[in-house]
Amino acid sequence: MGYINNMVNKSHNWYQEFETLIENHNREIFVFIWRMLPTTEEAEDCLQDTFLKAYKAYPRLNNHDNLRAWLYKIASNTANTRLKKISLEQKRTIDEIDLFTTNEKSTHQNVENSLLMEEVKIAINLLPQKQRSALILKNFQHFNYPEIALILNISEESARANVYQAMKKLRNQFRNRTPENV
Amino acid sequence: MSKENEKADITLNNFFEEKPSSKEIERAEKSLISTMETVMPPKIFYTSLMNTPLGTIWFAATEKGLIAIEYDLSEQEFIAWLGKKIKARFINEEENLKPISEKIVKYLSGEIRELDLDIDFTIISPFQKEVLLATKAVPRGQTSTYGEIAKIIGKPKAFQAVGQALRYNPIPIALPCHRVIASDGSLGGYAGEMDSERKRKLLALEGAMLF
Repeated sequence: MGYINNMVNKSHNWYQEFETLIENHNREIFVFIWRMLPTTEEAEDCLQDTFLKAYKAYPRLNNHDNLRAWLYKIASNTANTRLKKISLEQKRTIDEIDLFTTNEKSTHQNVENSLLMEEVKIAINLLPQKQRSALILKNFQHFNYPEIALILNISEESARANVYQAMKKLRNQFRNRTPENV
Repeated sequence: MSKENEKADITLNNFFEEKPSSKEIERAEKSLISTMETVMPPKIFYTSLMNTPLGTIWFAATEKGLIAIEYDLSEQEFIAWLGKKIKARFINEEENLKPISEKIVKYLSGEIRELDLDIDFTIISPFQKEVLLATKAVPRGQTSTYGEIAKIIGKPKAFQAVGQALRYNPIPIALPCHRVIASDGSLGGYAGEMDSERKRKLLALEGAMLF
């Protein structure tokens, strides 16, 4: 009877479990995706895609030990796929920003700073997929390396190396650039 | 660390502190929830009433109204039974269902004469709905027979099908199948049981004369 009851629970109550999952994690997943993608609208769409994919996969999921990491994995893959599609447009934008910052330097500090932030965002978006995801998980979402390894399906060493390489590239690119010194 | 790298780190750290505004987060959450509502099955709330004159009763309701009442089941059996009839998110919640609980309790204690509740007919077939609505037309304190109900719905030969429709009534009490008895005046069946104590109690409560 116990076995049958478990089966009953699994088949009829998983929707409620999934709703709890949405409630508990939708905000942090949105922040993660927002950092991965160039616009808030893209991030909103991607958040929905992520949870729709998770919803479809959930009934077949055997291991419920780390649902948070599982959601991040789906979010990371979904955002990366979306980013690939928009990367061409993205490259055009970076050219425009380069032109703007070099030729028409604004005297307004806020505009300069937000342009610099925009440049960083674009530079992060142009990093190789694993480096970008690992960097965002580490520096924005504050995951540790074993968790990053789990989410990205790579070894801990590889997670560490990806974050290191990403930081090295960004440091090189933004060497001598601070918000006060654009 | 070199000075140049330090400057780069200030820029990067500035960026790492950026996050969407709380308005953006809320808007994203809202549209996510409304999207998920369109793909997830409807919510069904359920709860139980213990120690009624008819024993333990489990019942469930949707936004439209009462969808099921069952006797003698455990919570899991009730959900498993209902889950076979309708795909839903089952939520055990007493508070939402209080208006229904109170009416059922008052009805069973004789405090109110009619159990007037909204009904959700989703799990009831069109034929069964016709039959059960016909029982609702039988006044309190009176009884009808399977044959009479069959005539009322315009299918006089279908009295056996009427019997089956009543037997599998998913919302007894509210759809008063207990008011239908055999044509010889005997009690007939109730929820698959002959000479049911519950049927007798319900009819006695309503003041029906039994022979």
